[in-house]
Amino acid sequence: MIMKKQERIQKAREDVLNKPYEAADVKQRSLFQETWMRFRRSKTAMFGLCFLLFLVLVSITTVVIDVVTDQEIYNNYVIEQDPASRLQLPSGEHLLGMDELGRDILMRLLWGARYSLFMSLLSIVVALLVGGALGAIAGYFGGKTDNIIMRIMDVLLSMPPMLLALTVVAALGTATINVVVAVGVSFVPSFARVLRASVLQVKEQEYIEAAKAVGSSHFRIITQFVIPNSLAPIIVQGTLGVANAILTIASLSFVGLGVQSPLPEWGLMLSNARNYMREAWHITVVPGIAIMLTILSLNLMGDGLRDAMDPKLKN
Amino acid sequence: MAEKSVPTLQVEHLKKYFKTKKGWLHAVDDVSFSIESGQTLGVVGESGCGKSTLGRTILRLHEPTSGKVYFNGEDVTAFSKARMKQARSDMQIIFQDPYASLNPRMTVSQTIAYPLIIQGKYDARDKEGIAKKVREVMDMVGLAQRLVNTYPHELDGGRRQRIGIARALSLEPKFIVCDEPVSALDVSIQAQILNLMQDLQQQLGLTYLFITHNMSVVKHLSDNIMVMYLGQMVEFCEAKQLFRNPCHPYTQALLSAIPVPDPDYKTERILLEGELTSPINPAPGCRFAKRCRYATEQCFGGETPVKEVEPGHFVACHFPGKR
Amino acid sequence: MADNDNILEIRDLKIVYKTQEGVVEALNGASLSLKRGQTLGLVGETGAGKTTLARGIMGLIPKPPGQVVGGEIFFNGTDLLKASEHDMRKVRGAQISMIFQDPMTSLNPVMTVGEQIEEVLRAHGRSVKEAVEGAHEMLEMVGIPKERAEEYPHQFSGGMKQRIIIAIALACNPEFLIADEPTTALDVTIQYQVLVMMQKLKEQFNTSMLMITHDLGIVAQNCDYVAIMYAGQVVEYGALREIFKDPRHPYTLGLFGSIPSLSEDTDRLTPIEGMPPDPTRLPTGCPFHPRCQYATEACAQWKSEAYPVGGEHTVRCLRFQPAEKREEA
Repeated sequence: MIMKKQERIQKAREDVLNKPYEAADVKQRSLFQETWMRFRRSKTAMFGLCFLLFLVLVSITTVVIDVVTDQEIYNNYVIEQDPASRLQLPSGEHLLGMDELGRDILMRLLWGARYSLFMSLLSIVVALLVGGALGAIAGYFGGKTDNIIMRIMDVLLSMPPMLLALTVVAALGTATINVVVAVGVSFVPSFARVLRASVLQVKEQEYIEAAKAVGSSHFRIITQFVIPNSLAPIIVQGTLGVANAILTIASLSFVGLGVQSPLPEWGLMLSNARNYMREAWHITVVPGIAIMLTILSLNLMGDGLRDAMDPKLKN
Repeated sequence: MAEKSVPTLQVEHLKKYFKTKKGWLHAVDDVSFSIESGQTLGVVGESGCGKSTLGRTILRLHEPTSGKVYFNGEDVTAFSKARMKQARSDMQIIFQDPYASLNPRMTVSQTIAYPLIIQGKYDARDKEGIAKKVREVMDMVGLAQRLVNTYPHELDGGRRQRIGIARALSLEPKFIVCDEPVSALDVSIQAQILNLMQDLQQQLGLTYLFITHNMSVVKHLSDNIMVMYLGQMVEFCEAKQLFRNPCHPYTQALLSAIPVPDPDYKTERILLEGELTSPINPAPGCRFAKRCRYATEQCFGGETPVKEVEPGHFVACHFPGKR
Repeated sequence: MADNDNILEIRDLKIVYKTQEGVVEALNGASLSLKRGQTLGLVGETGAGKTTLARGIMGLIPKPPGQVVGGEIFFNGTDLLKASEHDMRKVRGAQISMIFQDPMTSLNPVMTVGEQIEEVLRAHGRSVKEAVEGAHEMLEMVGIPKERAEEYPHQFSGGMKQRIIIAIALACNPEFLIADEPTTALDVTIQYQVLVMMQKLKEQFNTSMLMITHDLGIVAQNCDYVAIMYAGQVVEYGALREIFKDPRHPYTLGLFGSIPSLSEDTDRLTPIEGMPPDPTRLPTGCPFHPRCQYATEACAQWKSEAYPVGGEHTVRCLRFQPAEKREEA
């Protein structure tokens, strides 16, 4: 009898021991999922993300249309000039009006999205790869390597990015790819700095030592331990960088060293329109608002990402 | 000559200096000791006494400034890069901070499997073999199988520390440096981990270098204890002996300062004045002399002798055992 | 009305934090009392609610997400939970002071230590001259030469910083001091220096003290009363010797079994099995029953309450339910 009672108690105890913890322990959420959950909570960040997705969609659609129609629409509506309808104000037929050469501004905006977006993205990717690698190497190895890399970065950083880009374009010519390289180079130093700072912090963590203690090579430690854990700040910086890159590309186009006419790049549209500002307000305001909205979205998304990735805000 | 068993670890005159802006920091300064196979050496001392640096220098996570480390009779400090990598599967480390010592981007199974792949024990494509080994190790340290794909941030400190132990054990090492493995844990979890470490030592015949500042933990686990002060060994002896007859004035003060969980426990308590001096470019003589109540002129200059007061009981003091 | 001997009496305090993950029941009906001039040791593990209790007394629960949902905190006979923020500000610093755990982050790095002590004195109505004198006096009292008042926190070592924090806390001669893990960040020999000094000052000023710690050794050497906390409740309360010589609650027994003894040789520790519960989903009944070796089915239904077991000793465990109550049920 006594044994039985004890067994029953033992069993009851095992039941409770095994039960309530199951659900509580295992949330099974990766860091990415947690970041996304926090990101989703910010309405402004989600607005930014939605607007950018919309732009990406527009760009892809226009590219597809060009391929399918063999650039017919592009040639007829985006490039083709119509002197008769110069500077026409927005109307039912042309929702955003016509520009100084009689082209539909809405069509030009839609077709121009890809330049602003993809050129800036490309230049930031270039800058991230080069700057990130340099920063990671400088931060991880320290000492002389660090000194040499970072002093070169300091020299680059001491030139205004715009001036740097201007120099590169002036030297290489105004081909689209050169603009991308020029803008990319101007962002390398800031990315190198950001990544170096976070690598310096991560490299002191004990899990790096643990990896060394099992005999990992430097390459493995950098690629599997250091970089994945240092990415958060540079992703944020990169998002904000895209906004800056759009501005830089637009500025380059504005001064005539970026994308060349008649391509419908937004900065170029703004630049061409500036002589007619007094006669027709819409041809400057519309591309201006487009640029502004894009940059605002990128900044909002960047802020949201930073908040979502900051472990201090966690819990 | 009679066959004498080789100690698992033998450290001779090990020094590790760090260059700082203010001068050389003597983190570990001429430390010698040995640990027999299957035994535990407890290293105690206060923060900044160089005990963590000692553990890391033995594993060559820091390159020693001078001195020798023999592992099973082989000089580790002379190993080539390739030989060192091989030796790492026999010498592992468990860290203090269960939060900082795990890569937050790796799941439990990835963390435990990583050393196996690095050391070439398993091919990265041999998913089944690795999974089996991971399950085995998780079982050994008492981690439930359902946690296999969780990330460290989802687990509590006790479980994280078990992952840290599992990572060290997966390579089946002979010798483990335990760097304050329980200091960051709550008392009840601490006891679970200590029991686990004891069981593993018995099952696997492990040799431990157990670094801690907690005197009751070190007494509980160790066969021998080494007390360190500002990078130097001040006392070395059998664990029980140290508590029965502490001979260095610093050890005496350290032991008397421990709050004992018994309201009726009364003993002479020694209040040490001042705090640790800097280990940067230390003055010659005994480093404890400034805070020592027995210090005389001779303590402030020259070499401090290491005396063997009883067989196996070493004290670095001019006046060992004075009280 | 509260007992007049008691400087502090907490009854059935309930505090919750509302988070994304759910409602965290940080305090779940905690009760304790402290006599004037005595020291109460509050022992418990991470997440047991020790710091929440201290913050509750100070009126420093961050709202939101924190919320006091029930209970009373009598300080000198008045319920602090009913006091206005204006009144609380007068109480804080002057009558109740708090020492925080981390000496590295609780001092302002851009103010000299003298100024930081003066600030407290000025905030409670002393003149500039009085404040400067008071600051010097306090520094000397904690064993720091007054000439060092002009120095900044980074020029002091960890132990010294903790002394400065103690000086700030005691500057207005408070009746009641809350010390939240005051020595956890310090080395054992420095810890001993600080504890000896605190004990001396406490006696000198006749301060009552609530000492929060996880170290039973510190409690045994410095406290008069002990409260053991688990999952937001005080599971065992009593005079020092009642707890240390005759622990009753299974959790308290588990804590004692978990610390290696210095005086005896034990081969193996007897830890508490399992992990502390998730505070967003506490077990029903006794929160400790899933880890308890004496647990019965009744423990999961039991309405948690404290039972006296002689003297001032009370235990929150069904095993100590008096016989007459058991029959009632």
